[in-house]
Amino acid sequence: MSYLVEVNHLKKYFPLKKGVFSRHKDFVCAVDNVSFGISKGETLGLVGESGCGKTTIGRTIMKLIEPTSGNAFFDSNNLFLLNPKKLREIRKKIALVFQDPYSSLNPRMQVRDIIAEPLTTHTDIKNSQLRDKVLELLSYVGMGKEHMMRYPHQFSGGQLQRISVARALALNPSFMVLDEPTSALDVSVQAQVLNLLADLQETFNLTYLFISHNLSVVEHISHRVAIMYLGRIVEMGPTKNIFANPLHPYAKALLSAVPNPDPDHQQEEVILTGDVPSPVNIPEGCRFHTRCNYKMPICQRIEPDLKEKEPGHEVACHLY
Amino acid sequence: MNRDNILLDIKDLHIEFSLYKSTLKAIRGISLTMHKGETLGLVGESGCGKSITASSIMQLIPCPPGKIVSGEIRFQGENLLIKNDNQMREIRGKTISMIFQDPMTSLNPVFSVGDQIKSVIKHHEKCSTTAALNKAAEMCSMVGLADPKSILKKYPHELSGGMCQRIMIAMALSCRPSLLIADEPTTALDVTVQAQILKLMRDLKKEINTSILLITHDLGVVAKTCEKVAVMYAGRIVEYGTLQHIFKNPQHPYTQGLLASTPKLGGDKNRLETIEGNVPDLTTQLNGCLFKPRCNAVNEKCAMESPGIKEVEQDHFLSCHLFNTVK
Repeated sequence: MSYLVEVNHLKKYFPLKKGVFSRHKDFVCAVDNVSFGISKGETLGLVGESGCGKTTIGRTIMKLIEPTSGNAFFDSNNLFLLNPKKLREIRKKIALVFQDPYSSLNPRMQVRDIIAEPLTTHTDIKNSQLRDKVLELLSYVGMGKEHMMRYPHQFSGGQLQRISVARALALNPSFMVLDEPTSALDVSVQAQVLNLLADLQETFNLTYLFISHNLSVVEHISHRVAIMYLGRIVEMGPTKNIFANPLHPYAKALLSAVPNPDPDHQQEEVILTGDVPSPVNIPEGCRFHTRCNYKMPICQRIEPDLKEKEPGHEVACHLY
Repeated sequence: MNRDNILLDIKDLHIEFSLYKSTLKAIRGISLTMHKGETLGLVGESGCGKSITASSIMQLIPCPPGKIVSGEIRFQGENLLIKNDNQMREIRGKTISMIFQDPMTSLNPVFSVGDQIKSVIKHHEKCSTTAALNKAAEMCSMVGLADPKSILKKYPHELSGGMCQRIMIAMALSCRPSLLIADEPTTALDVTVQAQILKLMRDLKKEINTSILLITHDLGVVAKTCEKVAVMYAGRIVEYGTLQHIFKNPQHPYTQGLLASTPKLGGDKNRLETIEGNVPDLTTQLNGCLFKPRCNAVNEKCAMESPGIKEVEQDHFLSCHLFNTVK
């Protein structure tokens, strides 16, 4: 199967400086050897707790931050090797929606200028054509003419996130990185935005990388899910398999920790002890062994790789 | 229910904030009763007045701009709103204590956590510094922190979010309060840590028999910890009842919408139900039912008068005109 987006052995280490003249540098291993692929029209959900490197992956693919090593292919172009001119061309096809709609829209620009900005930067449509295009984009996200002249502070969070989505759609992208698009929103509004994203995917055959810490949202919207822990993917597979039959002990604990809004729902609770280790001092061997309930001697020495357990369902654990 | 058993009784509370040009009516007539040993969940979306209700119990609303216009808050039979600062100081931390949303910012960064727990104990109980520190260490081990002696010497920035929240809980429970107000205690935490903290709160509640007022926007957290639930919308309580009433038999259109729009694990992958529109602007003059613009089942009465809160079955209260017409 060929993928639209493919990431191979991506690494991103952020250097930590200690003192002015210090030669020894520590590194924050934000993303450590991550590989995945997304086919056209598919949604890959990337979940994990805070600090596990989800956002860093999204931003590195966009080349908003330089990767330490690894490759990312989009439509068989290696994004990390392209010259700036080519990269600019390809950027039209990739769009990003940020987490916080209040801070990702310029407060001093009117909505029509916000949405028109990618169009004026990348294309040469002007005047009435531009206005029509902006109106068309607004109509995709359920907004209209009356909203064009307003400023971001005049909107609610849900409406602002719709404007961000409209801006992302401006150049007909084929791939969208959605970085926690609903975590700043209330549930009733979150449902509106999730439905909108699903509709747009169907209409434009979009490919999504959906980054979120909310497992129920990810289960709802994704076709496949990758679960991250401390910069690594520990389990990846079709949404159904992962949620019905999680294999990795971390995935099991994570899923059982999600509170279910049903008082009669009885579930076996796997409660992890301790906290996530610091990404500066990653434990040797399997990085989850400090909190794992099924720890074996081998886990402290050798780091497990992702292995296919069932068709399409991969897990990185010595138990399997 | 037995009247002696009532711990907290809020009657027709109205709170306003004066803004530059207008007045924001944040709380528009809340009445709420809590019994001893009960866990009550207060849910609603952001801006509906959950946290303000909680702060008003502790009299922590900044004044000005905030102002409690009318109503009363009775705690163990006494009206808290007529107490002066000194009297309130004796109550805060002793009989009512509070846990805030963000554990990293609600602890003082320039004092060690031991100092901070100790000062609460010393203020309320006449005891020596050593005795207070010993008590603090005891509380720390009660909330599941290993090696309490060394943790007490640490500063908040040396601890993780989950550990800070445990310290906050230890501090709040150190004087064995009769009421613990937890304002979004797990919102800033990751799910696995959230599960630890929720379990801790459930266990501690059994151990020291405190009533808990849990404020959250997460319906899953409510389903796991509470016995009673009050759903708030735009400064009013729209529905109030036991966990079973609210989750299994919701009557108010807003509660129904809220439950339907929450994605559930293992739920079907169909479209989510949505509540169209947005929360009303509370600075404007609003008449009738506040949920009317977003409601699917409006009748002519909704625009005219605001529905009062009525008991529809035992312990299940509802504020909606719809119920009268259906039955």
